[in-house]
Amino acid sequence: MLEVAFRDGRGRVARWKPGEGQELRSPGLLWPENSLASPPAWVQAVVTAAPTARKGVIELVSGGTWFYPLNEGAPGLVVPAPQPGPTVQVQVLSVGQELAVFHDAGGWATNPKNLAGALVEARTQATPGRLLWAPALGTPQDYALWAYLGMDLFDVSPLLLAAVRGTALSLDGELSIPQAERLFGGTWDVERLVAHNLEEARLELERVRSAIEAGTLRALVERRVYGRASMVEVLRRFDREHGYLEAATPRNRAATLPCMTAESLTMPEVEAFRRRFRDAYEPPASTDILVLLPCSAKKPYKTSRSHRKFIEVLENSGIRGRIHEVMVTSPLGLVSRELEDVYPANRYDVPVTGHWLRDEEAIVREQLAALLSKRPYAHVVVHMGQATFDVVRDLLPEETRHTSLHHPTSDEDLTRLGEELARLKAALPAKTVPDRRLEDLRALASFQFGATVAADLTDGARSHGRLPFLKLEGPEGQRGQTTPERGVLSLTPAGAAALVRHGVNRVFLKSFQIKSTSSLFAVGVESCDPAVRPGDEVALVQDGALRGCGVAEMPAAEMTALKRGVAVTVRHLTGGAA
Amino acid sequence: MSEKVDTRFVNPDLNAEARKIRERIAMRQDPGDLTEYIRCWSEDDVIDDHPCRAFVVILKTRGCTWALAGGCTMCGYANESAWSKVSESELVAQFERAWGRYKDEELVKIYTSGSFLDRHEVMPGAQKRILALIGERPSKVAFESLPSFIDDETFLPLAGLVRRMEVGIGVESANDRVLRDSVNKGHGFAAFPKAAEACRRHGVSVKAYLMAKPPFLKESDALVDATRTIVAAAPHSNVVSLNPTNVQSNTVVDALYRRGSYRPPWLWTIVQALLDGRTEAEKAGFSGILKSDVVAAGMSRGAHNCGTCDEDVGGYLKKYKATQDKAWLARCLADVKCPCRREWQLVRELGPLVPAYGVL
Repeated sequence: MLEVAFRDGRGRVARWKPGEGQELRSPGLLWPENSLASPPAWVQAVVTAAPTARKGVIELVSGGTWFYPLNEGAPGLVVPAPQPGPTVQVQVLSVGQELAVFHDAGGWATNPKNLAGALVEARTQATPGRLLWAPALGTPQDYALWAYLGMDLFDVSPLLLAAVRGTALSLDGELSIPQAERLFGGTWDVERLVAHNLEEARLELERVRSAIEAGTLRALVERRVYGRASMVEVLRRFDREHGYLEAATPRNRAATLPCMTAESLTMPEVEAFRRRFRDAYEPPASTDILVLLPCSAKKPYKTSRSHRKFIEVLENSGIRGRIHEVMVTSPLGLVSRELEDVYPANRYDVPVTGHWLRDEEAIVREQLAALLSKRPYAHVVVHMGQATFDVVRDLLPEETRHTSLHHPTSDEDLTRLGEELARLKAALPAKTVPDRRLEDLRALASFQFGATVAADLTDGARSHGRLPFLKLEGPEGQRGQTTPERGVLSLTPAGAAALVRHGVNRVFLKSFQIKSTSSLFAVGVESCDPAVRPGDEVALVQDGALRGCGVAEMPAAEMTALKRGVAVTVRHLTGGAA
Repeated sequence: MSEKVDTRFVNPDLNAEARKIRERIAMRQDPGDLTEYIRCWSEDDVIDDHPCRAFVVILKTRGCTWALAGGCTMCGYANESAWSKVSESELVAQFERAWGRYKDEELVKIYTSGSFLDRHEVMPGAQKRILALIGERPSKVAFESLPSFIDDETFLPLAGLVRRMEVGIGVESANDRVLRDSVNKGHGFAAFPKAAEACRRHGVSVKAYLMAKPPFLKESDALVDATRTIVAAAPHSNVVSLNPTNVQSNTVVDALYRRGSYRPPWLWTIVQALLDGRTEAEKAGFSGILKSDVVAAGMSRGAHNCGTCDEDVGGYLKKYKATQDKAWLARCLADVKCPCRREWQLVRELGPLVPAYGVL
């Protein structure tokens, strides 16, 4: 039995129970038997050449090597001997129904360039329905990275080999015996090195599991990889292969997202946000004045002191209904007011010094160019410091007004902003904005589902209520509403019908009677639109008809591959529901 | 593929990769002067237990027939082949040029990057004319051949040209699965005793080349395989030479090595295999020479230990080679007390349990 208890991107804490009284938690360690050391009590699985059907521990049976096979035809979880093949070919070995082996992971990992492709291939071949063992790979320093990339199981061979070579492993890399003696005291022999390396591994795997549970694995990975160039290289290559990491990246997390390093600029959740902003997002239709504002340390921005001041000036201008408020920030680039409650805009944490890195500048410029191409703003007002204005100045119209000469929150600058808005109010022809909140909901929906679904969702609808509980109401009834926890539109079946009409975020159910409105389990899922990520609003479709809607708890690939676990938290059921 | 190749011992995938890799060899574009041999030198060697000087010449032939079709996964000799037809007269001209440097060495060794007895590589006329040139001055002439080119007809035209001949035959392994799925040898082990019998009938000595740790074998496999192959080859051989695989450019082994998935054998494996193999072969009556010439010893592309004890172990191997007394091997294991022995042992224990190459 395999059940994923927690997931954070490709990292998964799973419980694997292949037999009675046997249980392993991933990411975990396998123990290949050897004469150097006996397994500590915490070891949950051994690899053996001489199976004894032991109790209380998972026993993987070695099939030996291709040239000198062992245990042919033996019962139990036999690891088949890998067959020699072309050196460019990735081999995945199946063990039972719930485990696969990424053959020679340790060898592939010596070359980060080859590894990226090989690992994606191995993880894909294995399918999410199996744990993946990366043999001869993994030390305390890099477990977090491998887990983040989708490796579930490791073995102690690198720990033991390091020990016999006189190396103590640490989170910062390798220590020689004299270094270990200085740090920890005492005399260090192979026995002590073995014990030390195993304990370091146990602790780090515990930390990795905790980070997956808390949704903070990426931050742990970024801290670890800076100890070794090859690890940074691996992470960078994977960030650029967004197909792989992004396909499992959640849309929402309870934890703050630290964006502390150069790698944070390209993390998949950040890149996904920016891409949706550039490609899918449509600004509110009535806006013709763009006001660029600085971000704030406190999120969402509107709760910060600085933004409360900006909002007061904007509100008092009398033309807020036609102003598009857009915050300039790193690493998201731009965040418009309608999106400030959307993850990760609502929960990122970035060091602010006022100095922009070149890469950050490039990001802001790319996002701004995309926004300006979407909407012909009649006027642009920049209420940010000079340094930030300089980053984007050449992209903006010549008559752009810069209203922050000292500090954006200074009385003087706030007054200047107010005066500029008053000048615009007087200069511009009057314009009535019938329902700006509806426009904001439509903009939010375009970011969430694409412009076509957003148009359909808001067609003939009106908004009511107050943020953060803004309701979207059609003539047939409520279609959805925003919630402060998720910052996006939560749909009703009336809203989910738009998803079905346009073939977006559909989860297709097998034929069975849905009874409860709380959980749809993976075993009941027939298939799923591939773009679905954990945290997405999804429509449940059964026998061609809308049956309900809810929030995805798994990425698309897992919904069809897994037999256990909640695939969708169901909010509403329609039709034949009991 | 040549009709001499036994397809039961060909791994099509590995063969295709070997062929693709060999397409990179620069000589394919420009083979150079075909009347110029590749190299020629004089070195120390042994004949019948006594030291001697040997005259060595490497001829530039069109290349090994088997390598032209793909060929063995570890062999880099194709890097020195012309890859275009080299005629009988050109081959003889090459040898004549080299022969001018002959200084009465007792042993003459003629290497091609393939088989001296392959009539498509070294034409029968060239074989005959070269051996006739050598004549009776050296006491022995040694060359190499795949077993499939060795039969009674091969030797008949060469009879009486030189005092004694020795053929080196690449046996590699006694395990047919290794021959197919590791070496991609193109023939099974059984081809060797058959060829050796033909040699014996014509009074030709047999030198068997064995491969220690060809690709895709673990260290644990390598020790078992080398030991068993020594025992299997010894009864058919005058000399058995255990060659640790080294990483030569433009080979499948090289591709595997660059992927991080190949480590040449430990010197400990060589010492242990020689000791165990010799002990068992002697029990069965073997009294010939069993040796191991380690190419690139101590280097990462050749057989090596930890770097600290390599020279020590190499010293014992040399003493053993000179004396053929296996006590030197036992003494090596007893006297060289390097901590890396424990690593070597751990590597062999983990090998069959952990599906990875490289360090294991």
